[in-house]
Amino acid sequence: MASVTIMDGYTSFFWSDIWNGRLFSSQFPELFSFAKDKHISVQTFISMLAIEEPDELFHLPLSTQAYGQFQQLNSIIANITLQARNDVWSYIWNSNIFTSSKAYLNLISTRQVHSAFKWLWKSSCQAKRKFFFWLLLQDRLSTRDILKWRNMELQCYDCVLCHLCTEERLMHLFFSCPFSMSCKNTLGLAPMIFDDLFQTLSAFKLHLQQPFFMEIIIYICWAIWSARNDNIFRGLQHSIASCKASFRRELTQIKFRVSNNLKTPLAQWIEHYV
Amino acid sequence: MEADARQLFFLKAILNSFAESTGLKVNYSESMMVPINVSDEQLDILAQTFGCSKGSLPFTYIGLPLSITRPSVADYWPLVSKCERRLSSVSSFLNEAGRLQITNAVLTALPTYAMCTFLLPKTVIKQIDKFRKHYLWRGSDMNSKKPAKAAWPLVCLPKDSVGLGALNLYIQNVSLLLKQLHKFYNNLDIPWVQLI
Repeated sequence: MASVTIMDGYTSFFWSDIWNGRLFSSQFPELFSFAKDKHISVQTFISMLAIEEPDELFHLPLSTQAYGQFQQLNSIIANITLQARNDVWSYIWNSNIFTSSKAYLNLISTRQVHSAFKWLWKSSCQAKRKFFFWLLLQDRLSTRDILKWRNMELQCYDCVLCHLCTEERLMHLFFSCPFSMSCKNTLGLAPMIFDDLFQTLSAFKLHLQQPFFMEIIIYICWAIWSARNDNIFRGLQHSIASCKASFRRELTQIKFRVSNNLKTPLAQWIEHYV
Repeated sequence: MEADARQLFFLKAILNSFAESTGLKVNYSESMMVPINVSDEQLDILAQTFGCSKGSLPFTYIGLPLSITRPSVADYWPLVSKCERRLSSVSSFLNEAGRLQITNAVLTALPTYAMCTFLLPKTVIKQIDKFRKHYLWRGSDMNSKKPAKAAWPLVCLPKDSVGLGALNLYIQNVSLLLKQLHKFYNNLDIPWVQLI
């Protein structure tokens, strides 16, 4: 959470604090296991090392691995001179001002994720479409395979938009189903379809080459999803033309939501492809 | 302050002179005297001298439970019921995205004030989380049994990660409390820091 720039080394632990950008207990784990006092301060450690008393610091003898690390450590420490000033502590976000929100973000463990999530929240669709697409990205839409997994009894778990009798899975429904494929073909979109959702999305982005690619993807998926729902719950027959019409309607509305400099390119794109 | 009539008399004099010089008067009928280790008869006399009513620990002080021990789960009950009441009063005609917004902006914000001061017990956090989950996936219909579409820990991750940006109340609590620690360690110019 906090790191320290060493001045006199009195307030900081040698092993377990991040100081001068290093955390020694994880950099030299083998050597750390030999340390006598795990909570020794930087000041004491360096002064002990200077008067050459390694048996006070470590349980001797060291293993060969630990000895190698000890020599590395020695050469690092040789460059450090202590000064007669207090240590300077700062937080890991490079500031000595504490804010709870930054602390929260650091405490909650986040991992690197595909940038599709960034595209999604940055897009200018309505919030309900974004929520829909978030469920899609997480594979949490109530497609029939999810319903089956939730022990919901259905007569048939096959995709209703095609006659291939394949189970209705997320990737099938939105990307590899012949119906959705032909929907996209009429829009001039025919990128590679991968088994992985995120790879496919990246391929779409590359293929579209437009700043509003995410909006297009979200609305295509929405159009397919509503065609599927109409078919199941209202008994309406799906057709490529109706799917395209609903896509056009939604996308035309988005014209009022995108930023000013995107309005004309978006209108042109709609005229050209839809 | 000691339970001593003389000291009380001086306190009242100070308050009166404050009222005269600033025009801000003390409302004695709404003031309360809270005894710690004082007998009942003595308290009666003192309260009458001062002209205020009697109170007892624990009581609510600026919206938070104040007592000499750590507040128990029951002391947080007003907070929990506040969230519960909010649940039924918000609209039931919102879609999922709107409900997410309400969850994040309203239901999560309610305990923030208490969390700045106390580490909420696990039971209280669990209870509030229950309401948040319920509202996000089921709306204000308390009897609905609709299943959630995504796991709660996933929803609790930030939006630039994979989640929906709902706050994890425990971590939020800890980071709000760390602020107090920060104030203390850096000796900021705040009365309570100087006092300790």
